[in-house]
Amino acid sequence: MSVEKYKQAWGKFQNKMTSLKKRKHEILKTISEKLDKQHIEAIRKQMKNHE
Amino acid sequence: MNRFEPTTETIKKPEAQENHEVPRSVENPEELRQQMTSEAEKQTGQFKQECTDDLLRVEERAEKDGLLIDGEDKKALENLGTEAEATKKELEFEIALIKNTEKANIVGVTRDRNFEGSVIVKTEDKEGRVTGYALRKNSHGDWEGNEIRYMKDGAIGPVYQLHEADFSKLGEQGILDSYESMPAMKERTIESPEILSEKEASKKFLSEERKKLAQEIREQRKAQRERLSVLKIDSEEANKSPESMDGELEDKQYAQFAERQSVEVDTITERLSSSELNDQEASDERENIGQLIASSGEIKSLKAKLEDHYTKADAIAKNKFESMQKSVEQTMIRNNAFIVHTFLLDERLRHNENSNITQRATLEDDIDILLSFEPSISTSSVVPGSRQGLWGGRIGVVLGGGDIRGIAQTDNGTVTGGIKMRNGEISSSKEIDEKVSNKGERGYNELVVNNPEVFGFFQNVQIDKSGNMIGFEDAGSEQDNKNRKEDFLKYIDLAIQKGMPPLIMTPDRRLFEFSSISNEGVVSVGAEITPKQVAKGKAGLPNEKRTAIGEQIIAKNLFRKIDDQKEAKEIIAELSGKEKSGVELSQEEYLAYARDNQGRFHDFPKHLLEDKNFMLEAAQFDPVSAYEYAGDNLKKDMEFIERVYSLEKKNTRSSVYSLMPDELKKNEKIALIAIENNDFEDIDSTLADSPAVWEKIVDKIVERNNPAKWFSRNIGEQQVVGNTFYMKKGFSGVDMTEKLTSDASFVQKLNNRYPNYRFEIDEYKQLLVTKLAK
Repeated sequence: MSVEKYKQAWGKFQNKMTSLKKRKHEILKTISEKLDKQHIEAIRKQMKNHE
Repeated sequence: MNRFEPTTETIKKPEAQENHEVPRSVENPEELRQQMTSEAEKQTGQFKQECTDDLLRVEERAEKDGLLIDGEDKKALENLGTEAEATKKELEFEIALIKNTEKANIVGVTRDRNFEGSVIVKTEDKEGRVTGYALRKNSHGDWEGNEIRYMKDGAIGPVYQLHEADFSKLGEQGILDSYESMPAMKERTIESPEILSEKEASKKFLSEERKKLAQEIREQRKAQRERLSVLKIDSEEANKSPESMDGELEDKQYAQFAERQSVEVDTITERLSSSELNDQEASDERENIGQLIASSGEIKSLKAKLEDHYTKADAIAKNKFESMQKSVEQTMIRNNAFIVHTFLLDERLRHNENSNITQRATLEDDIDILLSFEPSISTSSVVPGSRQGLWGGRIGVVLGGGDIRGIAQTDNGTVTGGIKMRNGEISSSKEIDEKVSNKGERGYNELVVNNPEVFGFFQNVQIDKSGNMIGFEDAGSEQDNKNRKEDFLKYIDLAIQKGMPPLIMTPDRRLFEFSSISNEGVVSVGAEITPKQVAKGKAGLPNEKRTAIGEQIIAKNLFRKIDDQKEAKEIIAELSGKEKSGVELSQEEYLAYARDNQGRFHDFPKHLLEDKNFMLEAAQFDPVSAYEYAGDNLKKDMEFIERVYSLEKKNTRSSVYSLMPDELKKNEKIALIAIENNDFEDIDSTLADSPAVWEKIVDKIVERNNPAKWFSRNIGEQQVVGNTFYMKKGFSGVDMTEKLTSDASFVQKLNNRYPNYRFEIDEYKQLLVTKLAK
């Protein structure tokens, strides 16, 4: 009986960990996108200065 | 890689990551628990590391390209590690919760004479199946035992032997812990009595004082030495002068000098005065001699102290020896006698007025009180092989230890003065021996034993013509014999439950181990037990068991006096290693006591008896007693009186009004409240002249005289009603019947209230009632 309960608790833990991993992925994606955007802006600025 | 491509492509998507699974095949909870814990640790650790690494990586990139990471994003990434840690803790908490529910459902811890020497821990599963574990430890301290499957009717079914591997599982389920909770008598070391010498007694009983004295002596010796050297130097100086004292004073002589008494010193002083020392020298010498006198005095005082010390040590040694001689153990050994305490089976008689326990106490409570508090009790001694009487019933306990206070040849009618105190004669060991050693046929004697330690529980048997021990007489019918056997075994089982070995006592006061009883009442016994074995055997419960049982007794408020209830708490506190001076009863405990012992407020503390809130709560249980014992000020409190009246139940043993202080009884307002509450039998006669009071009394008597309740004749017939009414003048009654019957309003009110009857005062001044209608 308790084995089932342990497995349920494990499932709950796994779900939470998966959710954390997804959030990490989202945050990293946002950071990268923001950095990319900054980078593009910087290049555009550079190119404009060259013109 | 295109430099404009978002870096997210380099991040593994969670779905694609490796999935750490706890093996589905694991069915052992312990194994599963361990795997889950370690896997969770691994996963959270890995995740936290990934968060750190990812952050470093994006920071490196930002730095390289001269970019800035949004602070909030950075913080969110850092927080993920903390969240992962919290998730792991949550899992660990859940694991702990589940683990707790894995414990076996223990439904009882008991002993069973079929499994001698074992403690049976009974468990029940969700389907209601009861399994017992008969557990014991062998001589090496290792577990042994059996698993018992019980039938639905409670009978023992199949029994299996337990193996080593089973005990670790039983340990996890908390079953082995329960074994320890079962009471068992404790091992003892019995010392042989001997009188110690003064020196030995001083070392053993007065070690602190001895150390202090030794220190004083050392200090005194040192001071003496110092004074002597000063004097020696001065005298040597004096000897250099031709006019000095004659002869040389050696060290030895100085020492002797120091020991002389003041008379001798005076002589020397005189001699010094007559010598030709100069004034200063003579003065110094006198001072030195003065010091010697003082020193000698201190030595004498020390000697006296030493003598006192050894006299005291000797007295203690003698007292200790006498106490040992008066112990239950030594008395049994010297006189080859048992000391027993019997119980009456009739609960109405078991606690007479000599007892400090209420009649609510069951036999089991009595045994618990004896085992836990080891109270001062009344006992009797019997010599095996003799026909000697015992007080009371067929069951009792054999004492293995305790301190005998005194002995009387017959019933001494001793009474308790607290849990640890019982009055009665104080006897010497010689007097005790004279009576206990008596082997003649006699009735029961009475010994008061303090701090009794129980060795075992006995049940008396008879001997039939064939010499069999008989636990009950054969009733002739199977059913009756079954009942009688159950009744016999009931006490044996109770003894086993309490950890007391069950014993059998024969009419000639021999003691045997109980083995079994047949359906016809024939008792089988094991080895015979001698007083010496009892004296040296296990007796009394260990302190932790005494504490546990004692706490249960305290919660039942079984003592007749609240002081004994407090003493019980003090005993338990001391058993637990606490100071008894710290024991106080809380208000809740006083209330619980008031609830369980109605009317017993008299020994409550004064401040509680004056506390209106407390007394009103206590009045819930017995309002009249609450008023009776309320403090003087509270007794006069109008609100308190009204509230008590509102609580007062019918058929109380006395009225509230009668318990009031005299000055209050003359108060018209108080009297009106009392009458309103039908408490008007004792109203003070001085209030008869108060129209308000009299009118109220008349109204109440009219209300009380409802003829529908007592008129026993037919319509048209008459009946005389006895209508006497008394008021009080001090302790005497004042007959107010005539005033009542001559009061026209009384008859008028009766006729108005009960129109189906006619009330009139006849020529004999009696109240005559005629029934007019149904």
